[in-house]
Amino acid sequence: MIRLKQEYSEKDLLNKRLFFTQITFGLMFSIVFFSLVKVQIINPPEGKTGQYEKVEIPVPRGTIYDRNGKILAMSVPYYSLYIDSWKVNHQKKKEPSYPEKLKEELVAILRIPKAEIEKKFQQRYPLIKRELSIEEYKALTEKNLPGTVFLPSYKRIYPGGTLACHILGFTGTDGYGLEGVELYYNTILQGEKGISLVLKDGTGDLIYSVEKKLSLPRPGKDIYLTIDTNLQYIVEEEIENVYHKYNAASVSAIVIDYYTGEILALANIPEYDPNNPGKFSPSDRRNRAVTDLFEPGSTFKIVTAAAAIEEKVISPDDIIYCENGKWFIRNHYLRDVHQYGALKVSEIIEKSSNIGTVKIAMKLGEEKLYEYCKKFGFGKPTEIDLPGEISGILRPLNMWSSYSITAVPIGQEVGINALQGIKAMAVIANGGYLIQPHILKGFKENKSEKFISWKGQENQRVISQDTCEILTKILQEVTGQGGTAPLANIPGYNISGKTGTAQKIVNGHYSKDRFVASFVGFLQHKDARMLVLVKVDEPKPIYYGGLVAAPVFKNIMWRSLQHLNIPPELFEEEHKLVMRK
Amino acid sequence: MLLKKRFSLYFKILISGTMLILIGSVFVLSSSSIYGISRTGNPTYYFEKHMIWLLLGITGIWLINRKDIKFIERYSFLIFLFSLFLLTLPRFFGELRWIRLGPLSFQPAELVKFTFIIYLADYFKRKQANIETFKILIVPLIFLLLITGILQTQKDIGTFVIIFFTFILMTFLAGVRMKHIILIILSGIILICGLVVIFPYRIQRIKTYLNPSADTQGSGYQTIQSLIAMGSGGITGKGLGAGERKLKFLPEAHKDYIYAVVGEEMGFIGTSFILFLFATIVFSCFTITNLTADAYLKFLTAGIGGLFGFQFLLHACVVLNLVPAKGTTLPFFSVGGSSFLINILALGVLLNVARKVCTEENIERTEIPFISLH
Repeated sequence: MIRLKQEYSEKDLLNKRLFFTQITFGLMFSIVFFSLVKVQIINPPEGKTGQYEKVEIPVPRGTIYDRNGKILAMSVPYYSLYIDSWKVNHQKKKEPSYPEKLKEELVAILRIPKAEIEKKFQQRYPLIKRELSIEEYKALTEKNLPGTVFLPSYKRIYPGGTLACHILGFTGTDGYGLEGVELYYNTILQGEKGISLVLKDGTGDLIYSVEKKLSLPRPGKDIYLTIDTNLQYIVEEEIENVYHKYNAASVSAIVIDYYTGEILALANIPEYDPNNPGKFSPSDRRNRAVTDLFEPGSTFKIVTAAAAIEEKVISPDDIIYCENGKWFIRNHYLRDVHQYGALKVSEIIEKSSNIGTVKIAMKLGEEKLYEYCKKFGFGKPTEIDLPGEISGILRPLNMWSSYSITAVPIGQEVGINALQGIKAMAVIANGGYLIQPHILKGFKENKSEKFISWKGQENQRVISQDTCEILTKILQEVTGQGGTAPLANIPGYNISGKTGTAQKIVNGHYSKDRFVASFVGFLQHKDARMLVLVKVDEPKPIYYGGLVAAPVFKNIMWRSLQHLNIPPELFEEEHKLVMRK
Repeated sequence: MLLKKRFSLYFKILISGTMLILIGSVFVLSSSSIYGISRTGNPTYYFEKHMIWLLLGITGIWLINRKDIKFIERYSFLIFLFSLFLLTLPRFFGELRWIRLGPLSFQPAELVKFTFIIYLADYFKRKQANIETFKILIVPLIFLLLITGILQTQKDIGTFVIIFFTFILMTFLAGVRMKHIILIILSGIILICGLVVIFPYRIQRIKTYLNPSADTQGSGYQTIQSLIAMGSGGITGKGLGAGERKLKFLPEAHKDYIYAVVGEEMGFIGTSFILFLFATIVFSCFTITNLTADAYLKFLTAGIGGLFGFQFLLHACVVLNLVPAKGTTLPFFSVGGSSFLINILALGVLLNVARKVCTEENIERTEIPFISLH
């Protein structure tokens, strides 16, 4: 009995304790269950959801070629080194000396002072070095240092250095065009960065397997310029010579195809290196041919003459009295450099008589003169495809003073940029059409895709073919022995041109010692249609366009002809004459 | 009628266990692939190992179920001694906790968790007559201290807590007097406090437990991440494999925070279902304890029930920040081959016992009220 009782009590005890155990476990499971209800349903804790991050995929900018396919600007890939300090700290837990080791490796490989690296390490995600060299990149990747991050990017390179710098412009470190063609055609050149959505894990690593491309990267389109690198080189060399020879403030020169408006060369000095634009002052980086205004002076007489001949107010052989170099008109004296009596209209242009030109203009009248100025494209931008063009000054007729009729015909009271000058001269050269100067020949999307050519508006006729022929003949005499610019003459070729020597306006008055010497001329040849403008700002001590600018024109033209292998035309006829004798 | 009911008990354990193993394997794949990629480059690295352990485990279950449970009872003490010997081995191979066997590595501490239960069940059965005296507790306590000491050198406090709780449960059910049990618990608390004081990183964990948002990037980080993972799962979860916190936001998500991954990917439905499966197994264990007449089987099943129950509860409580953070695994879910294998073997023993109990004709059954969720 006793034993039974004892057994029973044992059993009873076990049952009681088992019951208690079950209650306890039931309670604990319930606590967990209600905690789940609380955390997952009733009151979920707030926190960031989604660790997706947008990552840009860099694309190269389009290459810039010249008209013959020579590379003027290109993008090359490179890596930049960043440090992910989070990962460095992570590694530090395993290897306490790691940050010091990493810094020493960086000092040894990159040759950056230790203090600088220490300073950079204070940031969460510091950029250690942009544009790693191949050796540096290899050395670093071989060491396989945790926490180093290499980000690919592209760098703009201009193989020609300063060559065509004002045309090309440059890009910022972010790859956005800041000047020149790089800026003007940025949307074509830039392409589109790809954007991909990547998942990041808790340590900041990308998980590429969960990559989603939001937009595909599209490389920039290659563009072709109208520039001929060889001509550009010739022009740059020649203007540099004259720049130093006459100690000029600046020199600009443009070579253009006067039928198509394609700019074959455009250069200014001072110049800069687009590979390193920050080292040069903004004034060096200015494309003066487009951004700078000057009074054209005598070159503007062509417009007056063209208008008068076109309107049949005068004919080339009409005689005009030139007042022996001094004429009191509209309350002030108008002077010529040389004293002339009676001159033919053609001689007035040839010898650049101010008095004669003004008399022609007065016959024409203010309204007609103004109309033709506008027709020749003055007073508004040429709409060249380069940034920063200045529109020029041509006062509206109602703002003309009584004196204006004696100033505008000889290129005073008007302000032009070099391109406007060349555009007006092209009208004479091409037989009466106003062309659209441009720098873009076309662009290609990819190598497989077709070439999309530049297309401008249809050229407007300004003056008749006859007028152009008459003027061309007159301008041809300018480079003859009796003209103002015999130095521009190239034997064997038909060169027409016009000099300009304009006083600069300093503090509202015409300066006595600061001039702009210019020459604009063109070649008439069955194989070549080159129009060249040279503008020398403040040459010293000589300042006449015929002496300063004309020889530059001649050199540019002569060397270009040699380079392009254009044979002389006039000699052929003379040769025949010799043979006949 | 009775037999049918008992068979349903066997199938309950079988089905619950199978489902836990299957769902667990899916989450092993889901949570470990990121670690597999970053450590070996192979996203299925851990999953493949897990499958090897699973094959070993199934072989183990088959072997265990071929023999009568009496066979294990006979060798209980030897099995325990052998596992103790293994526990000392990692030191000699210069490892912290592991014995490496080719591609697999084995953690003896996990084995000890189980063999200690086998030993205790055997011991308490033999000493049942004198259970109320304190001196019979001396030998198990010495073993407990020995295990504690070895585990402490291996910095494995989580395993120690499981073993300690299971020990208390078994002494409690074995009929040890309450004052003795309270004495053991008190000395256990003092011991843990001592360890906390000696190793300051544990103080940090307790501080973090009290206020996890105080230092969201430091020690509170994992707790915050765990709660965010749980919360962002909501009721239905983000979908299998779609969790984000497992991507190294949760430290060792595939081991110590896998329940949070379940919570994020399968939501409340998933977590409560897992809880339900574990509760089913645990309460089935206690039902067997109640049903069987054999003292060894009573203690053994209670111990196994406690082992599964405590492991699940501790892991869930850590994930839900109900107790201070410590590395504890979730049976059948956490990556870690030896733990997985031992849990499968424990399940195998449980199935063996359940089948035996189900087919026994002559057991006494005492009607007691017991908790059942079903």
